[in-house]
Amino acid sequence: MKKRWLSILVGVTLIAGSLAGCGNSSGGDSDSTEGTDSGSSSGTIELELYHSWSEETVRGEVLASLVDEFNELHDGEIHVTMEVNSDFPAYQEMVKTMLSTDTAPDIFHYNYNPNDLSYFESGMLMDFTPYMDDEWSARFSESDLETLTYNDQLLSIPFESAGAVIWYNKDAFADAGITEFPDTWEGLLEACQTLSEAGYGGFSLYTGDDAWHSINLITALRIAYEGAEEVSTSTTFQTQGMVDAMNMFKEFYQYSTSDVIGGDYSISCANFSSARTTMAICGSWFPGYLDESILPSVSVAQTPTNGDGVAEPGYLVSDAQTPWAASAQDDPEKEEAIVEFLKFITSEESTRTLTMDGSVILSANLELTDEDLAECTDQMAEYLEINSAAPSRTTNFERNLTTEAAAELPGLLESFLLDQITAEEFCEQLDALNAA
Amino acid sequence: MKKRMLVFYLFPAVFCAVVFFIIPLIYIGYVSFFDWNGLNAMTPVGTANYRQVLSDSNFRLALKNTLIWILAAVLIHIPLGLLLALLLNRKIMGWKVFRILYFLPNVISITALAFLWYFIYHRDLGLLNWLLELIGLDGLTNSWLTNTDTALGATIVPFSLYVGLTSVIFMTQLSTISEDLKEAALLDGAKGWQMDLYVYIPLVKPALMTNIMLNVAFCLKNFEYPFVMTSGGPVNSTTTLALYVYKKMMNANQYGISMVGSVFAVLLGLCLMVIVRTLQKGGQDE
Repeated sequence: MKKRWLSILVGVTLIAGSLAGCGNSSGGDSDSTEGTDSGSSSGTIELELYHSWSEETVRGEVLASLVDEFNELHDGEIHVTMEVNSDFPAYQEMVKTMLSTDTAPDIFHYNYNPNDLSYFESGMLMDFTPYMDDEWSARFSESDLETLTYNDQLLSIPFESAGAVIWYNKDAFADAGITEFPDTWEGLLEACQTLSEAGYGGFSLYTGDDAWHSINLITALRIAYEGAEEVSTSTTFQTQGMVDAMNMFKEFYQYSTSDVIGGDYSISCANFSSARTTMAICGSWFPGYLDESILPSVSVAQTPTNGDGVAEPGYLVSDAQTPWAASAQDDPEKEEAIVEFLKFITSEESTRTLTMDGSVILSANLELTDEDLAECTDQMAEYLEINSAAPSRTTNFERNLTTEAAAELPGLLESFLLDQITAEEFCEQLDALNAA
Repeated sequence: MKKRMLVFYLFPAVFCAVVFFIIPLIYIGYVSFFDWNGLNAMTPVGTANYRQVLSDSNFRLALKNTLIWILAAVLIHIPLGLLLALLLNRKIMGWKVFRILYFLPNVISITALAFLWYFIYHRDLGLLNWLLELIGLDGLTNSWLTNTDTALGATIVPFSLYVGLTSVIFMTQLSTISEDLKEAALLDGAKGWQMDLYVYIPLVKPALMTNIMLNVAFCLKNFEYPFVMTSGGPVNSTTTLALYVYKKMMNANQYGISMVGSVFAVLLGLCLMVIVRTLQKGGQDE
């Protein structure tokens, strides 16, 4: 009898314990908030920064050092801890999931998409309007701030706006007997044939995830056929220029590697690193993803045209704006701490450090002197020269698709490359997906 | 008193099942009737999500691929597991080493195995094409994972070959067969394959049913192999139901559609389990 009661007692204790555990989980949350609050009252406000710049890359390393610098400057007042997810597509999905489950980090960055304003509409982002004084707003272009304003609320802070240029392996080109980078797409296609005969691949491409390298090439080709202005304002993909661009893209695909279908960003970069491919259209951070041994061979080239005057030489394809955002806060002190950090990270000094040492092009204004340029690596100097001289920047078209259409894009692209659909059908289906 | 104790002992399990399975399941069904991107307010859409999913060729393809995985489990994986168990049951030289070797992949994460096979299948760097070239079968080399005709089969092969756990379940059952029965069969003149066919196989039916149930469940949940090896491509040709649910939720932010996929996955699972249970009962009645 005693044993039975004892077992009942133990059972009840265990269940009560587990239920108390359940209760504690919510209590735990409030505890942690209280912890932060008490932290703030005791002088330290904890901020969580979630981003995608791996510390194994130069830009990630520089960002981490800036965060350390900020923490030192605000020792005992604000402390920023970082969490990194370097898989950018997965990172973006994670940010959305965190927002939807109300577990968003204090500060994060994301790809702005004018056709998907769900972030703005969620009501979960902090409004920076009360904190945007003249001094801070002077750091950004008016149009960038307007883009990030929704219902009179400034819901994000401009951060990164990368132009994608053609990175190429000049030694492989020289080895194949090509002395100058072609200035027309036809010329580049011929160069691919020559490279192929010398045992090299052409462009680094992939269809997995966001197919970033492939979509950059398609966008660049479309601009060559239609002109930057036409592409920026077009509301349809069913144009002759897009069809021609897709057909030309397929020709370049023939000179790429066998792992394009289903490949991802890291595979594409690895192919360039191992000289299996010799070109990639990517942002300023690209060298940071390459093996050090290949860096001396890497150079930057201007985007070719069709030589018919439709596109201005030197035009650029760019990524979507990647702004900073913060989750809505109840604690005004924490809000102020977030603003303090973002003012620091978008300051002229930090922007200069990130550009010069981290090889990233940011949205915040920055005047680089000749001395600054002299300090850059050759590649970064070449990049900055092409970037600053670009007559136009057109956003990679994937960044303007609806989320549903973007999710179907890899499959659609693969259908096209595997000859299951024509270029015309690709454009038609992409339009239909984007309108759904 | 006994009944009260029964309730008391069952309570933790029932509580967990309700909180962590039944309630989420009901919520999945509930969300499936809404248009929701995960961030904004949910909008009720009636059965529109169900109609959309049923008319989605990618869903039908995912369903078909999942059924192909299940067929591969029943027709290839389990028979191979049985064959291995019967072979090891003969206690051939080094059988214990073989048993460990075959079981080893079961303790390695599927993600790692899938990566391994990704490189085995690689067109230019892969072991498979290299071997084919080595033995003069250059004509058979292929882009195994990027060809819509071979990609699905290629993702199923590793699962079909790693039969360690399945064969261990069979071997456990085989070890319970009484020595008297074996001796009686031997006295009746049964030899080698006759022992397997007329004595061992009929007596491992319970293990067979357990294996079918476990492997069907695995195939219904199967996500890692296609996700790592092909991301569900090319052209969705390797997408399974679990991957379809994931893509609709995480890539397309169509939570309602994703939940419909989950509802169908649960229904398919229930149907298959009922079939297996019915077969099992039929076997026991015999």
